[in-house]
Amino acid sequence: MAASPALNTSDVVQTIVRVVAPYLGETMARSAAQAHCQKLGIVGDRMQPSQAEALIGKVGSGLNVFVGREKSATVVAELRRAIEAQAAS
Amino acid sequence: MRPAAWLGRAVLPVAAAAAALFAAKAVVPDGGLYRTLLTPHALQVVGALGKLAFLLLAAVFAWRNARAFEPGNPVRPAWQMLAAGSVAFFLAQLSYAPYQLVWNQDPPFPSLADVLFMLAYPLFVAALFAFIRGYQEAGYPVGTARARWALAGAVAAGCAVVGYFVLRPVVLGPSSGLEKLLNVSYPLLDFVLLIPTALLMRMTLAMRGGAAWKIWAALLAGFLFLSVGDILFAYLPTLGRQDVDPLIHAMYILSYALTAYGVLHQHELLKS
Repeated sequence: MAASPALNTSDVVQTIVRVVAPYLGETMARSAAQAHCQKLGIVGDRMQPSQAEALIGKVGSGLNVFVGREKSATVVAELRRAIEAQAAS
Repeated sequence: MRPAAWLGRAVLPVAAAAAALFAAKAVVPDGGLYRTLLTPHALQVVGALGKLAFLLLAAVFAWRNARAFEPGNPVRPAWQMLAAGSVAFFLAQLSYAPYQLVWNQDPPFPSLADVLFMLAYPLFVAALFAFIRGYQEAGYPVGTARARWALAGAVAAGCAVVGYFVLRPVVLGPSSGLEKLLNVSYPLLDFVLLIPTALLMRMTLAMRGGAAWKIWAALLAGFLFLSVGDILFAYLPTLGRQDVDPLIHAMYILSYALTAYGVLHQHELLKS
């Protein structure tokens, strides 16, 4: 992801919501993603790949309290793949 | 299918069937079934075994959930306290077993069981607050401090109103000192328990459609049924309504089963 251009913030958030919603529901997944964006200072329409990576990390560590470390790592891997595919498209 | 998944699916239908037997007893106490097959002792055995089984499941799997979260995970201590409270409830219920299963008697009140029940409530309250803190630390929106205080204040005010009407006749009633103290203490402890329950309920509503929703809706409903059961337990004898005693058992059966259901589904989410 390091060499990728800036990503569309709402697409990244939407991807997070799609992957995390089966565990937390759509509303909570969206609220959590937006709260993490805010804490990481991600504002505006675009985010850098490094910011996306930090966001994925935050989402993963947050999910840890609901699904445990192993499943959280699986979700993080899935998120990373989905966002990389999004960046490549 | 994994044992926890199988148990998770079986718990609620079994509990609903058992609770329905008790609820029907309150409505038609002299129905044919209750004079032949479901004698008072048979019903007591169904209730006692059901409660013991659900509480044991809740205690064992809450502990396994705690162990499944790594040390340092903010919800690990919350699951440990939930497990400890469930163990105290299980042991209290177990102390009733000889009376209910063997001697066909109502268990004594007050008894050693009340010490264990009383120990469990602070553990449940601490567990729910630990969950709130853990979810907040993990970055979930649990509301601003001001919003949480406002909700806690509203719940406390509602409990104060309900408490006045429910507890006044208990306080003025004819029961003995310790009995009266316990009949007042249980609903008061429930009122305290309702505060973190309400705070988590708001968060749970935002999780509709997710696996965590199923867990938390069940756990919180379990605490609500526990509160209703305790309030009926304290209040109804003062009205001389022993005939609705089966309803109290139905509330406890549903409470323990919902707790077991939530705990088992958390285990399934961790291990599947």
